[in-house]
Amino acid sequence: MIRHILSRLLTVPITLLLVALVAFVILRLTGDPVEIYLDINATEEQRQLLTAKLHLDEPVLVQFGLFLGEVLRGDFGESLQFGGPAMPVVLERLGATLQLVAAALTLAVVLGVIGGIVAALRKDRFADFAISGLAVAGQSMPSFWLGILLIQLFALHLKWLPTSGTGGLEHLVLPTVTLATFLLPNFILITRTAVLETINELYVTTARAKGAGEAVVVLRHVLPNAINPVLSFLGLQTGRLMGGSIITEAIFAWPGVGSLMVKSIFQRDVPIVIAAIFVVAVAIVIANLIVDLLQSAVDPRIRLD
Amino acid sequence: MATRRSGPRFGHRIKIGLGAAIVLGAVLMAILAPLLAPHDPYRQDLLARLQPPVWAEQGAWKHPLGTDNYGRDLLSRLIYGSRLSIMVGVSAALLSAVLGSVLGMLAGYKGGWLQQVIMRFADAHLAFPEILLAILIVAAVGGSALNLILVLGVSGWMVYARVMYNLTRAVRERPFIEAAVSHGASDAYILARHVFPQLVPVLTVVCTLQVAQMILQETALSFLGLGLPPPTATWGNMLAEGRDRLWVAPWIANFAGLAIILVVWGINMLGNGLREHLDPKAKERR
Repeated sequence: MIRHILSRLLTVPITLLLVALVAFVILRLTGDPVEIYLDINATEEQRQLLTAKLHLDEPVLVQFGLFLGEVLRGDFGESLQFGGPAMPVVLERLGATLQLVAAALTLAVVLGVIGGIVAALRKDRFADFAISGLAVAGQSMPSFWLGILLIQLFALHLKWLPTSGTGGLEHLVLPTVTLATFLLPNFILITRTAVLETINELYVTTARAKGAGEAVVVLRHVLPNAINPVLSFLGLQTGRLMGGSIITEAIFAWPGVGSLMVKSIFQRDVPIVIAAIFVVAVAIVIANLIVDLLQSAVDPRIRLD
Repeated sequence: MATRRSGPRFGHRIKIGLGAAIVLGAVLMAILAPLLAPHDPYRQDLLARLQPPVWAEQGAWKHPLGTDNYGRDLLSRLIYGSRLSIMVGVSAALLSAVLGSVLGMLAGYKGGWLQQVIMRFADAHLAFPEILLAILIVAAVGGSALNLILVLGVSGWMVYARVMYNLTRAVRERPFIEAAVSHGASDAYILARHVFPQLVPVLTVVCTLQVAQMILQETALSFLGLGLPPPTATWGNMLAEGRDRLWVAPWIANFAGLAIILVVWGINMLGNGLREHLDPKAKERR
C-alpha cells in the first residue's frame, strides 16, 4: 500500500513540471513582457534595464530554470490589474470555485449512481429507457446553453432564483446544476454498465439464493464491486470538471478562479493567468491522487500492480 | 430475454441513418450557405433591431427567425455559422486523429521507453482540462480559424493515442505481424500496411464522436469570447451575444443553442450507431 502511494506521489512532480513547461511556452508566446509592462514612450535604457531585470537576456534554458524557481516559491509576479502579487489574488477566488465544484460533484455522483443503478435494475423497461435516453441526450447538450435555458426558466420567467452573482444558497443552485450536467450523463451510463456487469456474477446469485433482500444485494454485493469503474471515471473527469467550472463561472458571473482567469486574459494580465493555471493544475493533481487512493482502498487488486 | 432483443437489433441502422441525415443536412447547409441564406449575415439594419421570429406577434417573414441587436438576420447568421463550426470541428478532429494515431501506434508497437514517454505524457495531458489548454493558447496567439483548428487538434491527441495504443498492442501479437517481420518488412511499412488497416473501424468511430466534442469546444471558446472575434457569425458568438439579451430577445441564444445541440446530437448518434454496427459486443452490453 505504501509503495503504491509513493509511486503515485512520484507522478505529481512530473505532471507539475509539464504544466510549468506549457505555462513557460505560453508566457513566451504572449509577446515581449517588456512591451506589456512599459508604455510606448519608454526609453531604450529603460527597456534594457527591464530586460536585464526580467532575465530576458539569458539563454532560454536558464530562463526556464529561473521560472521554475519562482514557481516553487509561489512567486508568479505582480498582477497588472490588482497591483499586488498574483498568487494571493487567485487563492482568494479559490474558495468560490471549490464550493461550486464540490456542490456539482456531489450532485452528479449522487444522481449518477442512483440513476445508473435504477436503470440497470430496470434494464429494458420504461425507467431504463427514460434514464438512459436522457443521459444520451444530455451528452449532446452543450452545458453553456443548458445554463442559459435554466436562467430563462428559473430566473427570468418563474423568478425563483437569481440570474447570476453570489450571495445566499439560492445563487448556488443554477451554477451547480449546470456544472453537474457536464458529468451526470456519463456517470449514469458508466454506473449502469458497471452494475450490469456485476449483477450476473455468481456471488450475487449466491446472495439472492441465501434469501438476501434486494436492498442488501444491491448495497452490499453489487455496488462495492461495481464502484471501481465509476471511481476511475471520476479520476479522469476531474480535469473536465475544472474546465467546465470555467465556463459555468463565465455564464453565471460566479467569482471563482475560472472567471478571474478569463477576465485576466482579456486584460492581458499574464501573472494572474499563469498563477491560475497552476492552482487549477494542483487542484486536479490532488483530486486525482485522492481518487487513486480511494480506488486502491476499495479494490485491493490495484495495490498489487 | 432473447426475444426482447429482436427490436433493438436494427437500432444501429436507424441511428446511422438519422445521424447521417442530420450531418449531411448540416454539411450541405454549410456548403450552400450563400444560396440558402435569405440575407447577408453581416448586413446591419438598425431599424429592424431585435425582431422576434415569424411566429411571434411582431414577427415577419422577412426575418423568419428574427434579428439580433444590430438588426442582422438570425437565420442567415445561423446558416453561415455552421460553416465555421463544422470546418473547425472536422479539421481539428482529423488533425488530432493523425497525431494521436501515429503516437499511439508507435507506443503500442515499439513498447519500451518510447511507450513509457508517450503514454505517461498522454495520461498527464488527459488529466489536464483540454478547454483550459485551448483557452490559454488562444489567449496567447489569438483566435483565428487556423489557430482554433491547431489548438483543438493538438489538445485532443491523447484520446486517440490511448485507443490506438491498446488496439495496436493487441494487433501486434497476431501471426500476420510476425509473418511480415520475418519477411524483413520495416516498422513503418508494418504499421502502415498491416497494423493501421486493422484500426480503421475504431478510428472512424472515435473520430466521428470527437468531431462532436470539437464542435462543443469551439462553441465554448467562442462563447467565452476566445474564438473568432465578433462580428464573425459563429454559433458560440451568437450564444454569447444572446446571453446578454436574454430578457428582451431570448430567441438569439436559443436558436444558436438549438443549432449546436442538433448537429452534436446527430454526430453522436452517427458515431454510436457506427460503433454498434462495427462492434456487436457493444450492442449486447446495452
